[in-house]
Amino acid sequence: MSTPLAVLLLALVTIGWFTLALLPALGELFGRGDVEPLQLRRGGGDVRHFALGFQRFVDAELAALASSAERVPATGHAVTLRDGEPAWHLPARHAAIGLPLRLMPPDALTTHVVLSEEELSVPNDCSLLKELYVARDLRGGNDCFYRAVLARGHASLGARSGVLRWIDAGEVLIVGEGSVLYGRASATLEMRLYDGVSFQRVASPRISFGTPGGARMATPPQGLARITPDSALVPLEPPAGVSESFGRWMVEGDFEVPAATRVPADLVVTGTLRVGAGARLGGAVKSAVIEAAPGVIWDGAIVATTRLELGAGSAVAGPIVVEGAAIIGAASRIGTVADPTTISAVTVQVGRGSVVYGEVWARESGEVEGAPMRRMLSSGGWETIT
Amino acid sequence: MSLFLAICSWALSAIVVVLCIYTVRHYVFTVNRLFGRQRHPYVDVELARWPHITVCIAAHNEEMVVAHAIDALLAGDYPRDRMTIIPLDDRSTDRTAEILDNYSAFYPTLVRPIHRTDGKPGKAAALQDAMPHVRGEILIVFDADYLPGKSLLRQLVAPFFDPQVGAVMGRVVPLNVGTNLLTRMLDLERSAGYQVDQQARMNLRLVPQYGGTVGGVRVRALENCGGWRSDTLTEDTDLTYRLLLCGWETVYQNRSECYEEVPEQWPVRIRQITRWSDGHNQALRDYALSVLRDGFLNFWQRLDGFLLLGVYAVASMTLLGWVLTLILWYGGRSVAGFSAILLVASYNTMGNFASFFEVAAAARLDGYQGRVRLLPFLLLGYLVTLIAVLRGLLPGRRTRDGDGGRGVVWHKTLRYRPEEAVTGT
Repeated sequence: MSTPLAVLLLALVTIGWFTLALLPALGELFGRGDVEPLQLRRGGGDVRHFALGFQRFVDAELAALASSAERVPATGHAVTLRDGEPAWHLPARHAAIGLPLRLMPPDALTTHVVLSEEELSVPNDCSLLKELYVARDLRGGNDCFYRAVLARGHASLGARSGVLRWIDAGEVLIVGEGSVLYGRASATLEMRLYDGVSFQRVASPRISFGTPGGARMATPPQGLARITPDSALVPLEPPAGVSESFGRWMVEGDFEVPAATRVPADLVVTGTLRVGAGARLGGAVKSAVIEAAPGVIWDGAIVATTRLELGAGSAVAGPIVVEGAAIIGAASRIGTVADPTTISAVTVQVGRGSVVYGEVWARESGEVEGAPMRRMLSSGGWETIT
Repeated sequence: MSLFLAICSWALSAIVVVLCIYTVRHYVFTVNRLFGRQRHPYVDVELARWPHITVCIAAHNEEMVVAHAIDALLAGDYPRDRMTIIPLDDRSTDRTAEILDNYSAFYPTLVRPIHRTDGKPGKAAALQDAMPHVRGEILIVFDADYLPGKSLLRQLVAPFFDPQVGAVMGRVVPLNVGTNLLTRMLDLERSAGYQVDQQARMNLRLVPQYGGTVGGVRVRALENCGGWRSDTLTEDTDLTYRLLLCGWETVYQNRSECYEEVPEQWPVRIRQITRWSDGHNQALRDYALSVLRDGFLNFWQRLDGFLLLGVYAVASMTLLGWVLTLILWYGGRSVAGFSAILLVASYNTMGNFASFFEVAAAARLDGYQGRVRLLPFLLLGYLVTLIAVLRGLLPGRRTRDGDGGRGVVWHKTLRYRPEEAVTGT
C-alpha cells in the first residue's frame, strides 16, 4: 500500500471513529426530539393549588351528574368519574347525618372518591382513602383518616385525625387535638389547630394554635403582660465592635440586646443573638442563632441560619425565615390582619395561644405545643416514636 | 534554549495545576447539586408586607420586545400600589420611545419612562441616570427581551427581607431553544450555569453572581458600594464583588425563572463572550486581591470569589497550555517525572469532562431527555469561547472606557422575536 493511500485511509478511519461518537448528537440535532424550552413553574406554590384543581374537577363532575336523568337515591349511589375513578355520590337531599357513610359498601370508603352535596358527618374511626368533597360543612369524628378533603363550608376534624395530602375549608377549619396534617392545609376565613396538632404547610388569614379554653390555656401566658411600652424603651447605641453603615449594624461573633432597649437599625450577627425581655428590634434581623426572651417586638423580618427561639408573647411584623428549627413562644403574634406574613423553617413548634396571620411552612414538621411524637402508618393508625 | 524550555515546562505545570483546581470545582458543584442539601430559604415567603419597588427595563431600540416585558410585569401579582416601572429608553431610533409613552399615558403613576438623549450610552449609565427617580428600597432590573412570570417579582423581592442581602439573581431560561445548534448549546450552557453552578454556590454559601437582569439590588447596598459604574464592561460582575467587599450577600433564586432570547448567530455570540470575558478580566484585576484579603469572608468564600473572577482567564490559560505543549514537544523536551505525567493524564481524562459532567447533571435536573445527547457539540462551543476570549485579549482592542478608547457603546444583542409580535399598547 502506498503511503498517500495509507494516510488517506488513516484519516478516513479517524474521521469515521470520531463521527461514530457524534452519532447520537447528530441524531438529536437533526431529529429535533427535545427542543422545547424549559417549562417554568407556575402556580404550584399556591397553598390551594391542589384544592382549586380538585374543585374545578368536582364542579364539572357534579354538573354532569345533575344533567343526568338517572334518579339518585337519598342514600347515595356509585358513579364512575370521567377519569375512570369510582366515586360515591351523595345528593343534596341526603339525610341523617352520619348515616350515608355507614350505608356505603364497607370497601367503598377506601376505594371511592366521596362527593357530598350536603353537609356531612364522618363517624369515629373512619378512613376515607380517596378524595372527599363536601359542598357544605364537614364534621369529622375522632381517629379518622382522610387522603384529601375539600369542604366548601366549615370543616372540623376530630381528635387524632390525619390528612395525608391536603385539606381546604371554604370557611373555618378546626383540627382536633393530636391530629396530623401532611401536605397543605388552608382555610379561607380562619384555622384553629388544637394542642398537639402536627402540620407541614398551613395557611389562613388567621391561624390560632392551641386548644381554646383547655386546662393548660387557663393560665395567661407569661409574655403577654411583659410587652414594654415604646416610651419606656431605651434607644441602643451601637456598642464598640459593631460596625454601623447605611442603617445596618454588622456584628462579628455573638451579640446581646439588653432588656427594654430599642435597636433602631437592621442587625446582622454572625454568631448568636440574645435579646432581652421587652426589647424592640426596629429593623430586620439576621443571625445564626437567635434566642429571645418574652415580650420582644420585632418590627421587621427575622432570618436565622440555624435556630430561632422566640419567647412567649412576642410580636413579629415581618416574615420569619429559619434554615433550622423555629420555636415560637406561647401567646405570640406573627403578622397582622392587614399585613399577613410567612413563617418558613425546617421544623416549627408553636406555643399555645399564638396566632399567625398568614402562612406557616414547616419543611419537615411543624407542631402545636404538646404534640406527641408520632407518625401515621400506611395501614392507618399511629406509631409513637420514642 | 534549555532555560526557555524549562520555563515553558514550569509554566505548563502551573497551568495544569490551575486547570485541575477548576476541575475539582466543577465536580464539587455538580456533586453538591446532585446529592447535597439544597438551599431555597426565601422561596416560601409568599405573604409579607411587600416593600415599594422600582422595576427598571433597559431598552435601546427594543420595539420588537419591550411591550411584552411591560405587559408581563403588569400581569404579575406584585401589588401595583407598591411598584413603579421605569423603562430606560437610551437614545432609541426605532418606535421604542413611542411605545413607552403609550404605556405611560395608560398607566401614568405606574409606568414612568426615562428618555435618554445624551450622556454615556450603556445600561450602567442608564441605570445611573435612573437612580434619582427610583422609589423604594429595592430596584429590580430586567432587559427588554425578558418575560417575567406572574410571581417573579415577589420571588425576587422576598430575599431582601434578609438584611444581609444586597442583590438577588433569578434564573434565566432560553425561550428560542430550538432555532439552531447554537441556541440548543446555549440552552445547555445556561442550564449548567444556573441549575448547577449558581445553585451549588447558594447551597454552599459561597458567592452566587448577580447577573444584571432578572435580579434586583437593594438601593442602600448600592449606595454603600458606590452605585452603578458605567466604566465597566460587565457592571453585574463588578457589582457582585463590590457588594461582597462591603459585606452584602448576593442570593440566587433557582426557582425564580424568566425567559430570555439567546443569540442565534455565532458572531453575536462571539461578541457577547468577548464582552463578558473583558469585563471579568477587568474585575479580576480590580478585585482579586481585595477578595483574597477580605477578613469578613470565610476561606471558601474567598477562594470561590477568586476562582469565579478567573473563569475567563482560565480559557486563555488553556490556550497558552496548548501552545506550551507544542513548544515543549517540538523543542524536544518531554514531560518528565511520574507526577507530571499523572497530572496531565488526570487532567486529560477527568478535567476535560468536568464541565460536560456539569452540563449533563443540569440537563438531568431539568428533566431534559434528548438534548443531553448534544453534549459532544459543546466542544465546538468551547473552541468558539476560546477564540472569543483570545480576541478580547488582543492588545489595544479595549480600554477601561470601552472599545479602544472610543468610549462605551451599547453592545446590543439582536432580537429574534417575530415581526408580528411588535405591538404598542
